[in-house]
Amino acid sequence: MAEYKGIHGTKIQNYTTDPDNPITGQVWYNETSQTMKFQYPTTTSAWSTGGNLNTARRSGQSAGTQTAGLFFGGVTPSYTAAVESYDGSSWTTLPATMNSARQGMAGGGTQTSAIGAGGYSPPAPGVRTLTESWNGTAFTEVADLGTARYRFGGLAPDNTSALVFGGNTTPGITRRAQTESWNGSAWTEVNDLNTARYGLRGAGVPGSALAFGGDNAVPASTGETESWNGTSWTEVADLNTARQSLGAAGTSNTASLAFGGASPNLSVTESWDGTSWTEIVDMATGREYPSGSGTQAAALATGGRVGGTVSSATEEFNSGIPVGAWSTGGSMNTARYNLGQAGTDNTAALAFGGNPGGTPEIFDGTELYDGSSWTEVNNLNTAREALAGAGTETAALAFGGGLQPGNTGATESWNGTSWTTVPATLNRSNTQSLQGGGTNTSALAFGGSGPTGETESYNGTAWTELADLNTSRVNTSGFGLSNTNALCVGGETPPITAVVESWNGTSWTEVTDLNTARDGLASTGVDNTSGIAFGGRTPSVSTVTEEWNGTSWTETSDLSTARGFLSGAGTSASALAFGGLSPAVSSATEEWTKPAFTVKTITSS
Amino acid sequence: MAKTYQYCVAENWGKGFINHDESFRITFQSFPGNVWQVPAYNKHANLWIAKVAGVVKTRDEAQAIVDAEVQAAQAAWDALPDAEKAPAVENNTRPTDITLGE
Repeated sequence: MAEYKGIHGTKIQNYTTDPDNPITGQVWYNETSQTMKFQYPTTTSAWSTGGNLNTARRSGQSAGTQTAGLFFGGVTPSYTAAVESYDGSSWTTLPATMNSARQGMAGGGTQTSAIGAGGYSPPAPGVRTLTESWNGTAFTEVADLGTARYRFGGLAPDNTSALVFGGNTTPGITRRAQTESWNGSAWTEVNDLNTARYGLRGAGVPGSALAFGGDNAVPASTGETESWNGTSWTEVADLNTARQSLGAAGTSNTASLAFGGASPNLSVTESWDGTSWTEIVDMATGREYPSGSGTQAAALATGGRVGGTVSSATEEFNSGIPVGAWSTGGSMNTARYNLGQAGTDNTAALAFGGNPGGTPEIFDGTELYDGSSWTEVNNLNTAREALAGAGTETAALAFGGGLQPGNTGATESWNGTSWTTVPATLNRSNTQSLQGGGTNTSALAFGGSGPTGETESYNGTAWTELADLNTSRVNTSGFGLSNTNALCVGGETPPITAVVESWNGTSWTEVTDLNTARDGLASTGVDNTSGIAFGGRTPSVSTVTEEWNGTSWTETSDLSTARGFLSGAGTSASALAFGGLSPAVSSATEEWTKPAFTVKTITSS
Repeated sequence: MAKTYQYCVAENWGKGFINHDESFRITFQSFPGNVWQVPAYNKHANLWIAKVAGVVKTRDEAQAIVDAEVQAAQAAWDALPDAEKAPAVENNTRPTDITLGE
């Protein structure tokens, strides 16, 4: 059995405290807690199901991208000339068909400009030189291949350029090494592969391509990989799993993806970085004879054969997916929206005030979340909705809000047990639908109905007016470390805005917009360099969640319940979403977890 | 011995049947007859089965479903004209039996 030192060259390091900046995959032993720790990746790769083909088949030809794809030909098990297009969700059978039904072609392209060369269809000998070109509407026969073959590798950016290589001819098995290049009107033979084979795949473009896998001997699949530089093939590192009849995607000889294949029904996926193949996530439907398209980061696997049965399954591969997910938490005792919030993480939060959706429209109830359920605790002194909050579940601040009718600038401080109304009140006249951040002794209030850009700072004693937001807005969201560090996220100016501003204690600076403009959303984080924003209205209620790293927003896993005017507490690693309108008044709670570490305790067994 | 896998029957409706998060958390394997293999004693796998309204099967029940599908595919292959069988088209090989894991 291999040892850690043998693989990584070093022993596992002992630390008394966790290292400050562990790299992904790093393993260490924490002597204090006596636990083994592992740095979880911050992003991952995964396959998900896409829309099913209308005609289940294998050995067809793919072209295009994950959101604009094309699939033609194949075996159903009868030979088919059917053409389908993909829009990122579903396949549509097009009225056009290929001129000649066949399987085992090579080619590629886009949804509107593609090529399919060679292939096989009865009667014997069945191996074709036929080439067909797709213009987005119809297939047209163009110049024949120099060498008839099928089950060969190929790639094509569009119908004006392509590279094909390897393959098989009949009768019997004759493995080919020939490579041909297409210029839009004719095929030209160029330098051969080093290893003749069939059942291989290729990825890239005619000037920078990769050939991998296939059958190079009886009975054997190979993992052999060759890199094409526009002139010749060079042998490079093998696939970890030798296979034939696989799927492929990629854009160059340094960025390719291999998936599925035989024997039989493989689900293994490998990613090529220009030097070596690395095994990554498996497909859900292991299969042979799938067709692939797209890129190393966003690929499509279409059709194939599973256990001898042709498949209609489509899977979509994506890399760079943020690790993090929402799960269902305990429901609030009182459903409400436009409520105030404070908290630390997804195990400790405070919800107060809000609109319960009835009469009166204001509420004074306070609830405390312990990681599994909400408990009613002492009420606010002033019932209100559309208020703001700051602080933690043991030291919170509630300020502003609407009394329906009227507004209040009243400020209350929570000590972990009860609310106390403090002498300080907000200076502004319109105190509804504002937002806040910080602690119960150093807080910031900003935005609000009007809409306004007014900003006020609380120092534990009094509110002081400071510089306005650059973009006045209502129904915004935000969070912050203190009255000198905050982020204001989205809202309505009107219209609904994606604008985000960062506060440095003196002024607001516009930073990178949200990817999805929303109002009535929630956002939470430790400071203005790290947080998440979720839910809201676009104007439809939304499940969208985005993560902020201080520079940009990245879409991540969605909420389960779409809703606006919800609240949130916690950090970008551990947060809580609660309440809101979905469009009914909601008591739903969802817990966000993005693991920083996965901890494994060493045992003697 | 504790079982490694659990099985269910669920029809893959396409987009959203398995999302990225489920794919990241669960190791899936599909078999003929809409049979899905997922890890046993796994909260995320159980939630996914509930989401897709999967009908839980024992390993033997799932094996019987897969066997029936493979046998039908083998019969269909046997009925093909010789010109469409190996060796002329050697990738059109006869479907092979599948044995599910415990």
